[in-house]
Amino acid sequence: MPRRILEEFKVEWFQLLDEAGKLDAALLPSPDLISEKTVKAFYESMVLIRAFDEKALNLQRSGRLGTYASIQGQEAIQVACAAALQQSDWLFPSFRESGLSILRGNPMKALYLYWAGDERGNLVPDGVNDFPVAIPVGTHIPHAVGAAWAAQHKKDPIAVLTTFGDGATSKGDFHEGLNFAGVFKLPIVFLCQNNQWAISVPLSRQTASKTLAQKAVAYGFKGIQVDGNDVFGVHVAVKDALDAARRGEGPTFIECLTYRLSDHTTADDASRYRSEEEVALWRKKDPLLRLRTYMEAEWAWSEAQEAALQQAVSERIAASVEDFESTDPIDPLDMFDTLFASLSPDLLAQRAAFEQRLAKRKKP
Amino acid sequence: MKKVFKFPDVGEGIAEGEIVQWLVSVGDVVKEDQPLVEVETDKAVVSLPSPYSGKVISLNGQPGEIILVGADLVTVEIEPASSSVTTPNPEAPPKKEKKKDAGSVVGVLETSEKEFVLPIHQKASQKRSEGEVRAIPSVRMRAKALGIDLHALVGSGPDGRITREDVEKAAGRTSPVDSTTTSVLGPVERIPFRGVRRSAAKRVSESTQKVAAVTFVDDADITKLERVRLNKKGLAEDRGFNLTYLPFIIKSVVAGLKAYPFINATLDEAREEVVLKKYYNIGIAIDTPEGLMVFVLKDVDQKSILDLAQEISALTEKAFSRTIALSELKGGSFTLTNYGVIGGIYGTPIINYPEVGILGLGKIEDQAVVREGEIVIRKILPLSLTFDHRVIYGSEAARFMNTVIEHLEDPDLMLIEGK
Amino acid sequence: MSKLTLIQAVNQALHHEMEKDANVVLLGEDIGRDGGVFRATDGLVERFGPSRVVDTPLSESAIVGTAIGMAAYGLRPVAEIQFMGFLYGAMEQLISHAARLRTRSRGRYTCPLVIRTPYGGGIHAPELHSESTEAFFIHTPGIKVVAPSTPAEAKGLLLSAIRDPDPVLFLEPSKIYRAIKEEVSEDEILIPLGEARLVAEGEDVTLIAWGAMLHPTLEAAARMLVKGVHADVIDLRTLSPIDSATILRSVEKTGRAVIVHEAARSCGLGAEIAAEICEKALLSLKAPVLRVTGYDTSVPLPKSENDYFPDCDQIVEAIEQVVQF
Repeated sequence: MPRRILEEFKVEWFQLLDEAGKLDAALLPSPDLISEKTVKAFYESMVLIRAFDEKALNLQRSGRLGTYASIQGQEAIQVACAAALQQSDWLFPSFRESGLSILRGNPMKALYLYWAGDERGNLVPDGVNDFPVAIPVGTHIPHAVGAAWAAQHKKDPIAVLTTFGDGATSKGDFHEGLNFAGVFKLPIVFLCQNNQWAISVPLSRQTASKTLAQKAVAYGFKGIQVDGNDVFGVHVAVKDALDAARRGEGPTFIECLTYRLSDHTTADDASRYRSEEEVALWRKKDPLLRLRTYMEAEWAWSEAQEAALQQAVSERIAASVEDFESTDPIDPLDMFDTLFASLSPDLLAQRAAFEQRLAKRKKP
Repeated sequence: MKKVFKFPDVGEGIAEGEIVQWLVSVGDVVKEDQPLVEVETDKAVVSLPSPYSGKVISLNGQPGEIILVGADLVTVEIEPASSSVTTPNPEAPPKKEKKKDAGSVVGVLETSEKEFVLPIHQKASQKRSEGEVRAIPSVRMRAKALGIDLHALVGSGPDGRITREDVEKAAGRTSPVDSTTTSVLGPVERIPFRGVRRSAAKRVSESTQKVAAVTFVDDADITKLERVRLNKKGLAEDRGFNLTYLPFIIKSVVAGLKAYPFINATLDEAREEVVLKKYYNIGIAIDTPEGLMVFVLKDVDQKSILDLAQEISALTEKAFSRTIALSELKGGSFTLTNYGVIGGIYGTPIINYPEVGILGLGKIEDQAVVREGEIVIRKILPLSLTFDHRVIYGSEAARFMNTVIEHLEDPDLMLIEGK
Repeated sequence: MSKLTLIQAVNQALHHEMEKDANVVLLGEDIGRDGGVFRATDGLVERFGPSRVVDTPLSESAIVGTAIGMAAYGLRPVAEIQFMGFLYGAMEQLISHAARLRTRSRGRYTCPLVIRTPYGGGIHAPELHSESTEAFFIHTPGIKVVAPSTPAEAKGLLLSAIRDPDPVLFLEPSKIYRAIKEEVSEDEILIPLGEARLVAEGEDVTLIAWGAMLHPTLEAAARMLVKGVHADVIDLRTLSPIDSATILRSVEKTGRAVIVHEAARSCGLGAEIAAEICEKALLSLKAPVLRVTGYDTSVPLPKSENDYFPDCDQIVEAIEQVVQF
């Protein structure tokens, strides 16, 4: 019997704005995307979340924050996603999305509280449909899939976005989640922030596939690779995918190729396992840099405007740090108070004994 | 507006630091992240960056001073915040200080040169190990409530377990089922097992369990000694006390103990040592209406025979009148037991633990014995020596006995040896 | 002999075993080039090469699952799971397979596998980096669970664990990875599994602890000594199988027991030990067996974690309670 090909696949690369700040206007779905207002809003958001991030690193260095996972280099992805998502959409982040979190409406103070080790930072405001940070890698993916399934079941016109890194694509939960989503054609977008490093393990050790995007093919839906440092590109890709999901066309996998400019966390030292040359190479592709270059070319974005923006951002950050640091310490009894809807008699007794113990300590 | 920078816990659980040197002065304009001060913690010298941009209003502390975490360090009059965001510039990448290997990927690990040393083994507390008493918790509680010492009870339950009834009886309460006068076989009377009888029971139990007891018997010919005693008996009575054989026996025993010191000893099992006593305290077991009692004559080698006789009389009196002091009942290094005054020839006396020897004195009687091929009548004192074979060899015990007998049979020896 | 931290002692043990037995291979995330996130595997890939020190993709389930296969095939894998909180993803592999392979295959296939993982709290880290859920694995027949308390212990126990013919979960208390040093012999000194050690002796109360909790327990014992209370302090070392004989002998002597663990109270190992004591030494007990433990809540984030974990004061209080009962 003649051999025949059953399936072939292609994986597309998508980029609108290159490293040099040059835009491929032909790929634009609409000129609104590059209106001065929109672009400046993108840039301001990126500047804000980078400033937040740098401040967090500072705070950690001086002992005012605990271990923190920086987003440096990944700002375009986070701004683009925030812009593409609708308020009613649900977001399931991992732990390297502080920028996206802020732009979704989580107060900066809350993020500082969380990274300082105060549970109250995990409280997401009403109206913001974000799950809290997920520490074990990739384990939130099935949660996102479940929510998407429920939304579909209830016929809610929403989509779900879940974000994770390259490391997560090695985990079982990733495969099981994508498989489920494909089978049930769920309204979900899987977005991988491929920053090419999982602590010290490089992408080449994480997978033998040429791209991560192509992993979606196995689960029956499209995967594309986007330049993660191109805010326009990511935005278009994510928005298209979310819209498709909402229209009932099923899941999409978007691999955003970017780079983790910082260490894995503040406690890590990346110079142990990667070269300064590699980092320097990627600094040239910095998402803020290329957008600024574009803005300078389009609207003569000036030093003065830059300075004014930095100033405004600094003030905002300073105010949120002030807010964070003037928060009263968390009551340790809190550890009992959201454990269950109501506590059993044994737990109440434990809580009471704990309360007594704390009261005794307060006595001089 | 003024902002105060407090000395932070730089994340390694420190409580204080020592100011090494200020890197800025009052009046200086500083930028955020600019190093302000060097502080030495017990880990390293750290340079603390300013959280604020502005003018330094005050510096708190002198070089060499200790500053606590949370204390005010620097006051800064802040200007409207200037930019702190790194302008992305690939030509001049942000200067990254060489990071020291934190050896972690999250959190902060306490690092210390503190060495772990196993605690010195504590000497066991001098309290008796109480774990040997077997009783269920409710019985223990009951005993405690009634003020009963479980050690003084003998358990009637399985394997010597102390039962609730044992405790109730000890407290003098009758059990719900009154069985004081009848048993299944016939009438009985129940006597509470308390006081001297009970504590004696415990002592002999303990001794029997712990000691490797061997009894060795022999006779002493005290014919000569009798003459000496009878001769001086009157003298003692004039002074108000009795002169019995006991003081002479004591002196003979001491001669033996001095020659064979292991018989005047105690075995310290915990330390694996035999404690040879350099003092000679002889206990005398006597039968009182309340039961067996042992009073102790201290330092008998320092006292004369008359002294000893007097003391024996006095203590016997006190024992009978129950006015004897606790100190007079303790501290013995060897014991004599004189059951012979009542009856009996040889016995197997039980050692007064933790001593290692006891000499039993039987009934003194005239006996027909063989001397140089002739049958003669002599006054014979039967002796029974129980010794602890863990500590004393049989040969040692025999030689000790020989020495004692030698002195009893020849009172002139006591005279010339003097002590 | 040199003074080493616990992490250095682990490193020395791994160097030693890899040198001695060519079948020992290591696998885990970041253990090669980075030397392990706590540097436990420092220097090993340089010395033995990447085929014996394997940086794996990010998947705990795959790490444990493949280690099972390696072990069955004749290697002696020592897998590192970066934190106990990430072991949960591999629980199916560990419980459904590693623990059962020998019995399922009637001994035809065995699983001489060691899983090393930092456990316990006190390093001010995010969620799931402070777990001490040894109870899940003690409750699983077919696995052994070990928790060293000091550097020398870590080396001796790890050597035994690697040589053990059955799966061993080796819990390394991260709080004391570098907080104490101890003289550790360069020689091959094995500490047998299943044997507890008496770290201090006394007749008044038995204290039982393991891992990082041994240290506040010793501190509490020292404080009570000043008050005239002498304690037997037992470092359990192996949590499954436990050395009941040592525990019972001690409780029969003292009549009082206090068990200390940072794991949550309900169904912690303390409950099992208390039941054993109750069953086998009831007649010696003079007071209830007390447990000083974490609360039955999730381990809180760093701002509240010190209030969650047992401290010396709580242990002292428990000792006083049993002594005065």
